[in-house]
Amino acid sequence: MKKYSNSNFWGLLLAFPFIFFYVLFLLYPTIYTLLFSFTDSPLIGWGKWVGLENYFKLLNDKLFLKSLKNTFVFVFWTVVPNTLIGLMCAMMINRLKNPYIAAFLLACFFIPHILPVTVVTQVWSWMLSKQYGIIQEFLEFLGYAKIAFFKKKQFAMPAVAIVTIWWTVGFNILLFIAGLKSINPEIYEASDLDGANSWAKFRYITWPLIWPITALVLTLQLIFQLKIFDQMYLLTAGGPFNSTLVVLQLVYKQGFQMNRGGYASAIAMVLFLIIIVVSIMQYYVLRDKEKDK
Amino acid sequence: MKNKIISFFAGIVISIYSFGASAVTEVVWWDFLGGGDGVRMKQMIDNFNEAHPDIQINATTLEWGVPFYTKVQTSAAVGEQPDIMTYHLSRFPLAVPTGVLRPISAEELASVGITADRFFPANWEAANFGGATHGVPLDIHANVMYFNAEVLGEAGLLDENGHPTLLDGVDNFMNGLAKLDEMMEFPIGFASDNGGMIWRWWYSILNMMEGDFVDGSSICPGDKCEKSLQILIDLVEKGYMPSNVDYQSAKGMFISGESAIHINGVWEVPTMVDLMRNNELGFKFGVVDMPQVGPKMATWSDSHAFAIPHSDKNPISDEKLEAVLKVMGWMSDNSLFWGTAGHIPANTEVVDSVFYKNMQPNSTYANIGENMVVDPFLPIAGVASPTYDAFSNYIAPAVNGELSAEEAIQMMRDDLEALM
Amino acid sequence: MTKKITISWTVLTILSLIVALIFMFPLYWAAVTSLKQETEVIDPNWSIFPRILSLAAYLDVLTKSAIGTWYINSIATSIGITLLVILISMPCGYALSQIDFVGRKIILLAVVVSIMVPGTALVIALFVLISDFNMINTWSGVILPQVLSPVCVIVYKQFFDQVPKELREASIIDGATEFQILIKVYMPLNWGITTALALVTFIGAWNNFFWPFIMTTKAEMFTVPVAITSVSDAYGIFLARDMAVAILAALPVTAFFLIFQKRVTQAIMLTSGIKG
Repeated sequence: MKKYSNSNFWGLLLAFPFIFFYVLFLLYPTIYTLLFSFTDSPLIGWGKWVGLENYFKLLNDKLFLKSLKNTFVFVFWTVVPNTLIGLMCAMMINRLKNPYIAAFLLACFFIPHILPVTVVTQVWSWMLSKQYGIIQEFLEFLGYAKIAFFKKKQFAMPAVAIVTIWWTVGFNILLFIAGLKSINPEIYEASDLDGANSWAKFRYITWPLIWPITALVLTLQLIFQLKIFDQMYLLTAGGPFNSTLVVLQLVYKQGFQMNRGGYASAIAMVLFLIIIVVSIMQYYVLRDKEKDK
Repeated sequence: MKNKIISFFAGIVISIYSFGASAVTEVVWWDFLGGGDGVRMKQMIDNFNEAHPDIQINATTLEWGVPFYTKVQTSAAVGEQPDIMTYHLSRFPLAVPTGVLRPISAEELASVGITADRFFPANWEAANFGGATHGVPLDIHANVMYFNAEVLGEAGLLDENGHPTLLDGVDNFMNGLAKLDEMMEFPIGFASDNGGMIWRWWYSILNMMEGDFVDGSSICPGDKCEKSLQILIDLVEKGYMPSNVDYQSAKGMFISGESAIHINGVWEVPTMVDLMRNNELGFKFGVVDMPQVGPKMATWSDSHAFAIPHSDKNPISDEKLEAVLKVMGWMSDNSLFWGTAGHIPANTEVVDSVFYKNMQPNSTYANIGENMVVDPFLPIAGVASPTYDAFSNYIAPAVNGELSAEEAIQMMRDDLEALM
Repeated sequence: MTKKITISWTVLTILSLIVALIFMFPLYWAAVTSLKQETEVIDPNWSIFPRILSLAAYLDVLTKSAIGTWYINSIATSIGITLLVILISMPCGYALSQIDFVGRKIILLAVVVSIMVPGTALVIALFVLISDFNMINTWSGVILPQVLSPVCVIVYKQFFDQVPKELREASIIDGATEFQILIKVYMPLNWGITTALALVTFIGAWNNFFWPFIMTTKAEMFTVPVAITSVSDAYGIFLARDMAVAILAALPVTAFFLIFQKRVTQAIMLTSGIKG
């Protein structure tokens, strides 16, 4: 890097807009949220300093613990299936010889991903509607009774998970296809000569070589799904009996509905820390994989 | 410093600042009125705007219930509240202590002819929760039973006056439903997934059974709450009404003739009347009091009122206040038309008028006034309150067979008692 | 042998097409529903294609709702976000890539760390901040929480790293300032990246539900995705109309994607950490 005479001036000047927004919309809100979480403030305005009281209250707040559990259950229902389905679809598309059909299929799988979440929830509310949903006709055809998917405890969470997978799997497919394309075809040709069957090829060639992408997809999904709010708020609103209440929704409920800004901030801080920890784990997983190469 | 930041942003970010000065006072209006209510209120707003060239109401309809009241609260906190809004009287005990409702003085009200003697005493008292007038009641609305006169007649469930005979006592009601059940899959179309709808029916039943919802700081003392809930659970279990039906579908079941009975508020009267007028309803319908399933008659009721949201950050200007008061006065004087939305106008002069007395089918359920019960006057009750929340969260699943009556009431009790 | 392979390829192709069609069915069903009459929508004898094609639901939405205003809000905020993200991220990426200045290492670390920070967890503080700026219910209020994109900075940095050093040195000898080098050399060389990043930023901004939902309380300031689930002015049963609104909300981004498919997919891979 050649040093330019005014490099300090230009470097700071060009980085300034980003730094400015960084401080204002990231650093400041983070500190604010942390300080706010030590108070009994309403949504707007500062309340009394209560130290760690909010955090102690959290430990005994059944609803908070439930929302934490629900968030992880949702993550379980989405992250792994979403990654596996993504890989399967990617392998399917990758095998097609006709490039136009492959492009068409990729577009089909990807289109839901670029839709606004409210469109996705509207469409699926209609698909799964208890009275008029087309899925209900299908269930009746199979001899089952109608199911109120978003109202039944055993169905609500999986139903939101399925909607989420439908919405986001295109993204994973895209990443996996990129990964699969980067595998040298000669490796497969060599294994053909060795007489390897399809499973062996997948197990000993594709899977290990695609692993960095899989790890990437898994961790991106993990971070993304931990922040679940939109679909849950729009489809189940946390019910039935709080079985789908997630952390971010509890933040919204406490902060905006119950006007408890301080307590909501404490909940938000916990979520914040969880995501940071997961991200650090992601960093190390991916870094170790880079080294393996 | 803050000003500098603001001007900096104004410089770099495209922003919208419309509405310059003009002679017409704009009144920003929020309501939650959908369905037939919404259509009629729009008509009234148009009429008002036409009659008042100097005031222009700019109305927005937001989603009823929690989304509406959350937006109101958040907006008032940041000074972005509307000038006037509809508000449920049942929510006043929750709202008044938070300061979100601006008290309206007697002089201010008198300036547009609003005085206490023009309203039902209980109604006016509710609007004065907390020792000051916090809103002007527009109507009283209650739960009623809609019925398909043809099907009930066929089942032999109408007397010689065309009045349903299955309304007296729980056994009588169940027997009547059993007869209807032979003729159709689900005799009752009811929004069984809707916590608010369940609250209204359940609270009526609880009062019919002479039970209490609150006693001191304990929720649901005794076992009347469980017993009332059990009736609704039985209706679903016996297949008299389907589980997990949403509001629109429940109404649709009645309109399409799939169900002969529909339990809902009086606000759906205009929907039925309009359908009948356009020959889109394939049968004759009637509206009567709720089936009495306990020793006493009781019907849940609530009121829509007009209120002025208050914000410390941005209190209403004198000019706007004057316009808003005019709106309130005009709406009250002209609430006869609101009566065509099924509601009972809160203005007694309107109710006593000949025009209202001749209004059909409203006059057929005019006697519900005697049996009305309102939500408990507590901060935990009312529309979009913790009680409504608990009803969506626990009681609705119980009605739909997910929890037992005891489990659901206990869960609700735990939640609500923690807030007392 | 060859014949067997041909058959299995055909089977595979047909199978995958079937899977894709099932996958697309919800969207097809939404579109078909929006073109039905409301009475047909709730008719138990459903049909896979409208018996009578009807635009009534669309007319209803276009004439009776404020969808025009919501479109304007969506377009304005999405363009605002896209422009700001590019204008903020590119110079920073350039500085981090090409200039050796005080604090460069710290800033780079800060950028990388911030990729991990979940903005939505800061919702309370950001709401209060925007409210202090009196920007609730303004386009700025919707835009500002979404302009920080550390990933874009990193992508720009990576691409600027790959530009041959000779170009920069030649410009310096010609007496160009850093700003001129960025505008005249680095930016034109990386138009593709800028387009790609702008496209995904735009789509992301158009689709965002959370921030406009939090930062607007007035219906006339809602963006399309927020409005379609928050505003009701319904009369009777309105399922076809709901679907018509959903289709109208989805149309711009879908068209965008179909036109710029390659660029969009490239950008998505870039921003998620796969070098394209």
